[in-house]
Amino acid sequence: MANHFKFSGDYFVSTIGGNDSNAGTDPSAPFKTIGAAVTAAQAAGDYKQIIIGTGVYQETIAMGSAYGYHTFQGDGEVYVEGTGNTFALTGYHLLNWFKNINFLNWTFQLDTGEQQEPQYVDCGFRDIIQMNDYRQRYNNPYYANYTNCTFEGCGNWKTNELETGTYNNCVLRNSNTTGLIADAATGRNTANAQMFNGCILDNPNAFVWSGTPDQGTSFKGCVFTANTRVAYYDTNLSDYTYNSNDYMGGGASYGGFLTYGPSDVDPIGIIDNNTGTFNTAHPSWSAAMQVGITSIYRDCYYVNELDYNTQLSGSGMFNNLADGIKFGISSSLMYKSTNGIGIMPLGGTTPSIAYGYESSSTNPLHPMGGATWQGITTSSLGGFQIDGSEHSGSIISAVIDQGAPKIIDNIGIGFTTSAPNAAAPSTYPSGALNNNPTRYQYEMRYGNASDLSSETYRIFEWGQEPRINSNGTGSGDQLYDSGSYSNISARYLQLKMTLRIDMSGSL
Amino acid sequence: MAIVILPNGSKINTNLDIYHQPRTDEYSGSIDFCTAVMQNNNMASAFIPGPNPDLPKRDTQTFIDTSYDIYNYRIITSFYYKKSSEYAISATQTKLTREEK
Repeated sequence: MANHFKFSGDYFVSTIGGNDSNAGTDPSAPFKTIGAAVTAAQAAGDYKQIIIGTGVYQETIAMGSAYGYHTFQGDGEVYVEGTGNTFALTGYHLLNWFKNINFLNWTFQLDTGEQQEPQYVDCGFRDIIQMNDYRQRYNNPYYANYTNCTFEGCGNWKTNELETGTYNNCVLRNSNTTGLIADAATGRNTANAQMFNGCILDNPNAFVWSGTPDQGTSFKGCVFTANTRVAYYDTNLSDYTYNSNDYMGGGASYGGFLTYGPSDVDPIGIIDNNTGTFNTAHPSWSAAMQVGITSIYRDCYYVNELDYNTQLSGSGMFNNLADGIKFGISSSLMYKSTNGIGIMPLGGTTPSIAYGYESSSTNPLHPMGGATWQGITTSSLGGFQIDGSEHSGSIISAVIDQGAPKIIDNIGIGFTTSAPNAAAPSTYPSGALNNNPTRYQYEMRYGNASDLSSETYRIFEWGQEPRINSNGTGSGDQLYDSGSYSNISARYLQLKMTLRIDMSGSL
Repeated sequence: MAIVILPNGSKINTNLDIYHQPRTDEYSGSIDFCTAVMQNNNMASAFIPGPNPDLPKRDTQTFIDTSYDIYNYRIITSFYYKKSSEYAISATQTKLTREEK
């Protein structure tokens, strides 16, 4: 059987089409679970490449008490989801690499000994209550480095010693990176040497970081949205109080907070104890200067608000989609394209366009806007859903005019289901036309003339850059050969998306 | 046995995971001791049959430190699976036990 894993590796996993009875070493016969791949890799030795295909993996990635230095490479849209479990990762993950993997719905991201933290690249973290298990002694995510990662709705790190975390080109939305707590029992409350480079820090009226300003914490080239707060704890601050009430939410002794705002003319200051007033004349200000807190900001700036999607259809529905496909999103997110040049330095995120389900003549996904629905209805929960009498449904969009030819970076979709890996948006179910790994596919035709009727629909993959190879095969097609490809550049697009309740191939 | 004093003077609650000890100074040295046991001794792995006959499932990983006079210290990591027929893991647990020689 052919395969179209895009990465080479030692072990292959596909939760939709794989089988743990396979050897897992042949991409045409992948494992079904990450657990099988880790078991095999740990038995085989160090430095194994584990390639993980599209799907939802409801399992803990457990290393046990042995190092491996493995790489976990997502190939497609990979979700490690926490239903039924507590920890996403356990054991010795020191210098394991996680690439292009989304972690979703966990109580804790990591449960391990000290200095066992992995490296993350192009990963997403969403709805994780705490990024580390606070019950550890120091909870030190030493060397926990995040590059091009997105954090959405992630809870605090809630640690009392946090060391050397680096965030490069990351987006932190409604997330708190440290949640430093002043621990009267141990007296430890440092968050040291964390570096934020080119990040978006977007957590209005709450903290994205809190800690002590010593030992090299820095923010370089970062964007703070209005009232996103950074809190410093230092005994040299005049109203510093060693009180757990100082942690988010505050109490009578609330004080010593820095924030960006209200304007980039006056980008940093102190939020007063009880009033929340921005006040550089606050008594803590001079003390804060003395302890060097302002020296850690370089080329940062402040914006009132970030719009992650620019809507053409004007529904106001899409501001909670940062990037790519979003399994588990229960809102109406249906379509997003990113294109153009990013607003630097916005963490690698570029402006995008989104459409939803609203009945509007400007919405190309709705019949009012020229779309064709088959077996589709609008959901009372928001968004589209398969009509109750159907086993699949499809939407053929109206022709979308981008205004000018543009290179398409990514077309994403948000979906939710109570049956992960069974229901999904995909042109084909898992089988001869979509296997090894099974992917979430869509069809698109495109061109620079508004009449696309003579163009051919080609198959691409949600959430991934669409490409086409030399024989005209789209990058989500089973027959796609990644050896020679070109990007998609067009002014007009037309999408055909299929929703399925059964990816096993029965429909 | 629940609370024991380790050779380095720290306490450990043997009913709890070594990574989930109370966050007080008197327990804080327990992770140092446990880490040393795991770093200075060989790991013995035990497996159980899995659905793939060529891929036994990890069951436990054990380190034993016999270098002390009165007690041996054993650290066991146990793997728990979502289903007996699967390799998907639901949790792991690492505990220390103290055993008289």
